[in-house]
Order: sequence, then C-alpha cells, then structure tokens
Amino acid sequence: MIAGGATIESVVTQSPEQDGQDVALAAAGDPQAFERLYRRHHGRVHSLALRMARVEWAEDLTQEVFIRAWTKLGTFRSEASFGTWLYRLAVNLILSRRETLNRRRKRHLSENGILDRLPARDSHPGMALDFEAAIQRLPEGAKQVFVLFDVEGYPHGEIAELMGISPGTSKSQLHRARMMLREQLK
Amino acid sequence: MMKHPDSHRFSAFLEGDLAPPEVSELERHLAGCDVCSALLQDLQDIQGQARELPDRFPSRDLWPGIAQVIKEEAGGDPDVVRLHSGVPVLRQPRRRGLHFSVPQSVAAGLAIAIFSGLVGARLGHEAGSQMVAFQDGVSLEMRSSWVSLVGEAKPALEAKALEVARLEQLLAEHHGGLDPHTVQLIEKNLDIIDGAIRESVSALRTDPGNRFLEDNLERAILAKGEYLRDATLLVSPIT
Repeated sequence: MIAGGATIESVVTQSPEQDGQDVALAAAGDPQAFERLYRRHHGRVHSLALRMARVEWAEDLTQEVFIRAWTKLGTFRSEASFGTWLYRLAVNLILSRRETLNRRRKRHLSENGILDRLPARDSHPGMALDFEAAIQRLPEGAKQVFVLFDVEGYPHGEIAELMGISPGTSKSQLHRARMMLREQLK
Repeated sequence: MMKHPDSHRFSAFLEGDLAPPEVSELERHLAGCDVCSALLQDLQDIQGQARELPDRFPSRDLWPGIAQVIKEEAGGDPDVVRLHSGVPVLRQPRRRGLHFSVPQSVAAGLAIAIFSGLVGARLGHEAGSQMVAFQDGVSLEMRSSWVSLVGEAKPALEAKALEVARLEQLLAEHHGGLDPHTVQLIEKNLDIIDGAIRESVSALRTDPGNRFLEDNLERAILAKGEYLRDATLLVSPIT
C-alpha cells in the first residue's frame, strides 16, 4: 500500500492486457513486441533512474534495465503485472549499481584532478531549484527512500529489503528527506 | 512555553503509524500550535507533490541502443563490434562506447597476427597464445606478458597495465556464470583492444619516445581497463 491508499499495482496504469500479449511475444523472441513494452514503460523507468541515481546516469541505466528485462523475460510470472516486475527489476539494478557508479565517478574525477574544484552539492545548469532539483540534492540514502516511498509507493518493509536496511531506518531516512526538502523549498 | 512534539511524529502521523491515543494528543496540540500546523501542512504538501510528479522522458530515443544489443545477442551484427556492454559508465561528453568498423577490425586483426608473431618469437610461445584476453587455463603470467612489453615500451604505463591485468585476471576467475555468447563477445572485443595495444607497442619499438604513439598506447590500455571494469560488473549478481 502506498501513501495515500493506492497500491503499486494501481499506479501501474499502462495497458496490462497489451503488456501481457507483448510479454508473451517478446519472450518468444519478438523484438517489436519488446519495443512496444519499452515505449509504454520507458518514461517511468527513466524517471526512477533519474530520481534515484544521478541525472547523468539515467539514460544508461534505463537502457540497461530494458536489456536486463529482455534477458530475464523468461523468469517473469504473470501473477504480477509486467510493470510491477519491471520496476522492481529497475530498482534492484539501480541500487546494485550505486556503489560502483559512485566509485567510478570519484575515480574519474580524481583521475582528472577536478574533484577538489567541484561544488559540494550537485548543480545542474538551467535547472531551477524546483521539486525535482531539490530531490536531487538530498543525500543518497534519504533520496532513495523518499523516491521509493513517496514517489513510487513502496512500503517501508519492501524498501528495507531492497536497500538492506531496517524498516526503522527507512522511516527515519524518509522523515529526514522530507524535512530537508522542506528546508530547500522554503 | 509550549513543548512541540518531535518532528518524526508528524511523518508517523501521515503514515498512520501512531496509535489512536497518540493521534488524539497530536491533534490537540495541532489545534493550538501554528508552528506545528505549518510543519504538518508542509510535509503533506511534499507528499502530495511527490505523488504528482510526472514521468520524465529521456532526452533521446534509447530504443536503437537497446535494439542493437538485442540484435547482437540474437546472433550478432557483423558490421559493428560493440565494446560497451550496456553497463553504465560515467559518460564523457557524448561519447557512447567504442565501435570498430569492419575495416578497423580487419586492421586490428592483421595487427594481432603480425604482432603475435613478434611476441611469440620473443617469448618462445606459440604465436597468438600470449595475448588471449581470458580463456580457461591461461595463466596470469601468460596474460600479464603484455604488461612487461608495455613496461619496456613506456615504463610509466606499466603500473596502469598491471592494474588492467589484475582486472583481466579477476574476470577470468569469475566469468564461469556468464552466458557463452557473452563470454565470446567479451573475448572478441578484448582481442581487438589487445591488438591495438600490441600495435602501439610494436610501433614504439621502432620509434621510441614518439608522443603520439605513447598516447595511443595509453588510450588503448585505459580502454581495456574501462571495458574490463564494465565486464566485471556482469559477473556481480543482480536480481
């Protein structure tokens, strides 16, 4: 159950019947059916990647999610909707990549000798300090819990499982995120 | 002076985590406290904005890249050898992986053939066996032979080459769980990069100190390192 009383299933509104047909075709090797699935779901996956990771990684992560989905279609069970399965796969992949990507970013910046010249927080020229930008400025853990709970509607128990933290930590991080957003948006 | 509840209670209130007596107590406080009422309203607004966030679409169509990978996995495109496995890298300005055209691949293959002969003669092994990226039974010493050659050609690059060789060893030790087609693709791509390394080393032997050739060698080593880093991500478990 997500905040506000809706379930994750109800948030996934994109044509479950069409999804079912296309998943069956795609699993049999039909790339056009998989493209239709991509077209219906890529906005949400990209939004998830953009909000949970870093803006500059979002497109690569989105591609990787769909490539991973293609290779794992055989494991999809139709008890859940394709959207739910796909977003769960996306969350897992994004979370699994975070340490690697952060390490790589630090290494890359260090190799180029510009780490010390960067501002303390991310800055995206041209992006106003709106709600999205404020989310981007949150510390990583708080940002991920906030996106998963308040934006995506995952319950604390599931977030805790996904992130390897306790439900109490998830709640605490969520509150921290909301309070920081409040400060930023004043 | 009025004592305000801990702010965590407001989040707990919004999520329905408070027991009925706690809810009543908080509501009594809120009725007489503008500060806490404003805080609760702000938190509710944030919750509401989060739920209303629209999807944000990529700045470009990502499908062609996905389709390319799918196509390659289904049988391969002979015109393009994809060195980027779809694993995200910190993007340098608009550079999207390395691609080799057929002529470039042929050139690299020729370079491998020629240089493998030189290396084979030098090391006393059968030509072509020393530089194979990773195949079962290839020892670290054999894999690392290119490191010493790099060191001879450009000593300052030996440390980088050694790091790359360690990644190569790591991948060789853990690639067992990968699909054979993936392993084949990785080996094919590594062979091409190794060809570029050999070519640069060979050229530096005849023209030592040439800055262009040294830069070329360094770029090839870094490309191999980046590719191996991406490839090693494939052997990490993702559900």
